[in-house]
Amino acid sequence: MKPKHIFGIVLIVAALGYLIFGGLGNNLVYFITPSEYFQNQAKYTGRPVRLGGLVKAGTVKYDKNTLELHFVVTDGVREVGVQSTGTPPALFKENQGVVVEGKFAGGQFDGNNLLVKHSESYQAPKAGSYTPEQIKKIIQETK
Amino acid sequence: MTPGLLGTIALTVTLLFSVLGLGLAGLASVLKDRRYLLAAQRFAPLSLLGALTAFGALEWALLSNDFTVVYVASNHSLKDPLWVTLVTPWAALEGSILLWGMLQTLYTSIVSTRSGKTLDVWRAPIALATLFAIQVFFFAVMVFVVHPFDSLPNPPADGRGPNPLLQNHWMMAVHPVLMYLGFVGLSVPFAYAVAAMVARRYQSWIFETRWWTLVAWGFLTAAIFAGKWWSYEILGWGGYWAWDPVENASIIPWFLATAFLHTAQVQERKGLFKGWNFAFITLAFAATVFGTFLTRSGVIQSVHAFANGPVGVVFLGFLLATLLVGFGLLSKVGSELREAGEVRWRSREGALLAGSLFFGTFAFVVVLGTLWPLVVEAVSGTKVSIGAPFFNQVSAPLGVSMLLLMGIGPVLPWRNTTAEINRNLLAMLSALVFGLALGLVLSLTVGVSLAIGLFAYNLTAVWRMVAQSVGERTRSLGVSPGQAFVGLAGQNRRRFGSHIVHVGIALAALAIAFSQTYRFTEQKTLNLGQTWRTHGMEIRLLSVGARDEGNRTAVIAPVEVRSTSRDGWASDGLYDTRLNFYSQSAPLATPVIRYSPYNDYYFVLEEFDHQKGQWATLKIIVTPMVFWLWAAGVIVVLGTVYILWPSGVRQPSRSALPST
Repeated sequence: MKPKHIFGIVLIVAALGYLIFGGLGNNLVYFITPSEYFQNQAKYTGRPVRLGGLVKAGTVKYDKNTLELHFVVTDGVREVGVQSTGTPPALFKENQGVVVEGKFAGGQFDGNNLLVKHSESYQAPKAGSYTPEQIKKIIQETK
Repeated sequence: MTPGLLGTIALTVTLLFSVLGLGLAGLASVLKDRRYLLAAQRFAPLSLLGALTAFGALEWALLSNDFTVVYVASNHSLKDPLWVTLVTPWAALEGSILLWGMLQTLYTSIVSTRSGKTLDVWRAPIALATLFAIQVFFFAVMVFVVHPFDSLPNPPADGRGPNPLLQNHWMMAVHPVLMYLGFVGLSVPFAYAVAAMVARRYQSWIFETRWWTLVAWGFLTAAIFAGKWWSYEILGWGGYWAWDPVENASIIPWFLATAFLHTAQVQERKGLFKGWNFAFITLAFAATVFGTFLTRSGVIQSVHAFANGPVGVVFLGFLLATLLVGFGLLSKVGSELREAGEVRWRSREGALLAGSLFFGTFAFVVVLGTLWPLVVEAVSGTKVSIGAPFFNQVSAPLGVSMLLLMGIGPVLPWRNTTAEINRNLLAMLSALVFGLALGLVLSLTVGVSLAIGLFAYNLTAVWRMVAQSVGERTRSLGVSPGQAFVGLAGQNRRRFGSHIVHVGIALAALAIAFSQTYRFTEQKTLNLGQTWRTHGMEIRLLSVGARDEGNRTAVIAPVEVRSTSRDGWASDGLYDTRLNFYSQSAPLATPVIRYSPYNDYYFVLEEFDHQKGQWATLKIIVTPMVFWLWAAGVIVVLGTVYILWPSGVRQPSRSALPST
């Protein structure tokens, strides 16, 4: 192998390494519950996160003209108001686990993507209260 | 006899047959006695028969609504239409493993009947033993861990039915089977590789597994395109690839198998890259197991996230065993692998190796991105995910490099470059520059313009290669160019087939660039009769109503669309946008799609007036060129079939190959 080949290979590997590890760092999306958000608000504000929890019963409001959807996500301890435009409201039910992708801004959560669970072993959660552990489990099972 | 009992017996018997086959093949190898091999070969069709019986028992249980079987109770419902019932065996974990195991016995049987002719007595027992060992694993999993035929003491009167996503589209009947045919198919070249390393015959396995690898690769490719199309048709987000862990699980073995297919050619012609080939095929087979581990263990969050269970650990063990066998043997024989020459980078073998390295890198990047959340969680304890942007960012430069190599590789001659090649390269480069400039002049983005350039570049490469060989034949045989082309295409199936596949891949890249860059999405709530003008279309909501469809209830909101400008070309018509409500889960929005060579029009019903049916919220997605992605998938698969199609001309040449 000639020196110029080694140089070329090193260059390619370095470029790839930069691309991969730079990319991994910049594209980390934290996966948190409302309680975790309140424990460290500064860390999670203004960057993309996935907020997981339950849709609190009686809080879903959809404005059909502005297409704005409001609901409250709770983990049984703390709760956060979520506002989202363009989320298909028919796709989730109250008291169900949801994961919303978006950003915290001004005390509420701006969601831009709602991830719905598609599991073969899907079971509708029972209505009523959950312990934080149960909610954690539901969130983990939801994408 | 109940289906559950029959199934349990069949599984146990198949496990027994597989163990016996493994034992006899092992004895044949140790004692070097052909009689044991012949005995082992008998257990291959027997285990196929056992597996078919088990699979039939599951179908029987489903068709006879036998809810005493847990699998039937949790995945089947009286309301299911017949076709859904027939495909329910792969609706959940236990049935999928059964399908996998059954296909494994099928491949083992085919190999065992063929291996008598193509393999020598030193390697045949080992190849067969490897396949039997894989079979033992799957049937042991079913007998001891996941139990497809567990019974329920208090059976319900009706079950829950399969996952609505499975019922929502017929593609789910096809896609998983194709995927498993591809996954399982890779076990054959792996078994031959193991046999080659154990028997220290490092060259001939490449000829023998060429066909097998291409078959598996063809199924994998078809399955990946089918999965993309399913995702596009069903999930209602207008995309087809989200770098979800399950998708990644299918693309990783594809990358590695593709890498193997390319370096294997070099070993075939030049006796080079023996070590690479052993490594690539081990990794490709291991990647199929890795995928199952990923999606079944619950360690990674995914759209397809399945229930946690011991099966993840079992597959992890199998994955480690596979890697250990492959790389253990490779490290043992590594010093004996003699390369039959040196590699120059500026030659076809150099380009093929570089291409394979890129495929390997791509696979590595996807593995890394998929597992990175686990690393972060292990280090810092926080839960994170890696978004699609990471994968898109990394795949752009890798994709461009591979498209460049794809054009150059076949143009370069073996061993070294020659002067006339430079003219071809110049033509290709001009096409690249021309396409890029054309895109920029039309004020398309740089990425899309580059994709046009690369498409033109690859087409030019194929065109010049075909034109030159047709020209030579016309001159030397004195026939017309048409006859020369037909003659060449018939004789050089591999070369022409690979041209077809490469054109398909270049077209797919072009379609991906366009559809990812220029997607138009808009949402609006319409009252009955209201007209919405957007993106060259007039959309009018006609009605909102519900309909009972047996296993589901559908809310249907038909809209009428008229195109008013070029943006809405070919969008005219009536679209029944719908939401399907299945008993057990949230509703599924099923998009209605108008395919056209220019734009695809994609309508999703998002929400509707539950009280009076006076309004509906609609989403429209207009994506250019997606049509060509599906066309590209068909082209790639047809190209593969063209290579594999049995022909009278090639049959004698295959058996004339050296047997060592």
